[in-house]
Amino acid sequence: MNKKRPKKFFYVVSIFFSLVLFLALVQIYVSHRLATAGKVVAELENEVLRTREENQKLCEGIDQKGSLSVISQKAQALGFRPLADIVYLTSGVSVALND
Amino acid sequence: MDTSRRIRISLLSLWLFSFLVLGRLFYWQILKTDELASAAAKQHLDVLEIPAQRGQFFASDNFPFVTNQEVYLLYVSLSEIGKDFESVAQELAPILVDEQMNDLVKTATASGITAEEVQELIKIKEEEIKQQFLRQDVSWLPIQHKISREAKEKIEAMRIGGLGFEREQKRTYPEGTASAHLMGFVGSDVNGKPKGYFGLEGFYDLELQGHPGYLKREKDASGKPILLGISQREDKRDGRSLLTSLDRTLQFIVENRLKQALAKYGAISGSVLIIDPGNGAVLAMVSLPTYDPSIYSEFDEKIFLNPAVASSYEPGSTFKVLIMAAAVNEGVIGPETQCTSCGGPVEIAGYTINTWNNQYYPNSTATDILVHSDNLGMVFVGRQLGIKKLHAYLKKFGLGQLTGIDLQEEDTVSLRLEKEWREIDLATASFGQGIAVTPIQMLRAVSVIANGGKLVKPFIVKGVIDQGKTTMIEPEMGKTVLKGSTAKTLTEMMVAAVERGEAKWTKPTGFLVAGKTGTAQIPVAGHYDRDKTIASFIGFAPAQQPRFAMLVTLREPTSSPWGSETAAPLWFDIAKELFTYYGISPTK
Repeated sequence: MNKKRPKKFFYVVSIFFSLVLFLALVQIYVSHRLATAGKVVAELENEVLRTREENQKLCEGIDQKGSLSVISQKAQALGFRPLADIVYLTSGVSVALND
Repeated sequence: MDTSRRIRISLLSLWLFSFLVLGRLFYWQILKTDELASAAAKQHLDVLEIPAQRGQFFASDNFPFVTNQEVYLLYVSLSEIGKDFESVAQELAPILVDEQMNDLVKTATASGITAEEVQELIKIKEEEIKQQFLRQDVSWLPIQHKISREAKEKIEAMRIGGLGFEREQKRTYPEGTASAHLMGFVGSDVNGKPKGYFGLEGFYDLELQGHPGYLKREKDASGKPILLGISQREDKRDGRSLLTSLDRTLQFIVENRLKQALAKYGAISGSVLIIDPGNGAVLAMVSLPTYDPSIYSEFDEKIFLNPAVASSYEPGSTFKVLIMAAAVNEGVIGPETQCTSCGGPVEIAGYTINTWNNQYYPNSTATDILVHSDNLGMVFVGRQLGIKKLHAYLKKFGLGQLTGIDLQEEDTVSLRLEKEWREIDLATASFGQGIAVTPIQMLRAVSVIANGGKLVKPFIVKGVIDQGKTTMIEPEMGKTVLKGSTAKTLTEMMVAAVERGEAKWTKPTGFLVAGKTGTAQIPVAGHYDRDKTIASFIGFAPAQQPRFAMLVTLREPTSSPWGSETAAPLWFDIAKELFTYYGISPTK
């Protein structure tokens, strides 16, 4: 009986130390992961910000290019002119006449 | 020294030392607790404000009239700027002056600035920045607000320590300044927070503002977030956006036509209002001259008021249709009733009333009175109606009261009390003198004739967009003012006024338009100035089934003082474009 006790004691102590070692390693691993994840999160946030700014820039571009004054200027540059006279076709007017 | 004395001294020293330690602990733990807690929080807590976007304005086709642009506040942390602040100021000054020049270009004041003057401006700016860097009373200073993304990128590329940026918003106006009077502008309140003034910005300021959110979380030594640390988040709530009834094509057409007309007729200002007479939706509203809301501080504040809703004027002959409508509705006259006092000038209370052209039409019918815009005929109609009924109808048409349009600066002149009216007031009001209205009141009143007798409430915002969901606002229909038959009769009389009146030369053929010209002299120091007039034309089309009602007013035209020769051609020029735009064909 007495001879078995140190063996059991040694067994319990080794389990305890193994557990402590394991938990320490887990903590180191988790801390490492968290530190890295924080960096990744910061990078993702910067990416979101960049994308948002880019999106905002594109929206501003669309708004600017879609404004009627810009379209009108471009149309004029392409040779379009405002309608001078409009002929309305009514039922009393022949559209095509044979000679 | 004996032992007991040494022990006492040692004990006393220990007590004193303990007391000092306790005192110091009290100082750090109790007295300095807030300061230290906040310093600690600053070290490991990151608090970010998530700014809310101010609501935008959309035209009826969902294109933005007013939107937000991201700009930046450039600030400096004085403790980090270092001793070489002079070279920092030297590098910053040209970029910041360049930003200011962009604004100057908008006001056209930059065109006259020479290269030497620009250098001078840069020197002044440089000195200004140096003075800011030398301040001892603060640790953080804003250098310039609302700088562009491009300028921010340039400054960032310089890698100057101690400079930083905070995001801000700036209103942008993709369709230019034509709608400035409608939109208003965003300035600052007493606390420096953005606040809307005038127009829609002022009227809907609370709706547009939104609430900023915040994010509070723990950070590590390098400023990176700690995922398992404290984290609190309150989401931002963007301001509500407004869907307006404004048609940007109409705004564009009207702005161009009005600009041309001001130059052609030599008028100092002008306004054009177009509404849907069926429900009061404002389709277009342009007043010139206008201002640029993005640099509103460069303009005189008098220009911020929208003349279409805040300036009263004497409507002149356009007012005759309202008096005629009241008389027909009351049955005191009909379209064929003959005037018995139209053969010559009329004397009332010592005043002589003439026609505008000194031509007289004895026994003319009520329709002819409108066709000839006959002042004496209108005096006859007014007398048939009497002060009591005339006054009651003015109130029914909404005159002297705010229309309730959703523009902050709407104003009105009150109607005089009925008991204060004299015979001469009845006579002059019958042809639109001695009474003041705003353009929106006038157009709303004439819309009663166009829509069959109902008084509508004019509005600009037809829907509110909150978090992507649009809630439509139902138009408010007011009381019935005229019988349907009266509205029909008046429409026919107004059609005759266009077909046979002074403005017939400018009318497009084939279209039925109901309208009336107006020329009102401007009262100056107790008398009317003969040379200064407000020329106007009011009407709706197509007369049988109106798609729009429009009022054109031109102030002090110099090519001709008459509405028939200035405002009417402008009205019809715009109407022709509207016929094409709406696909309205001629009926005859």
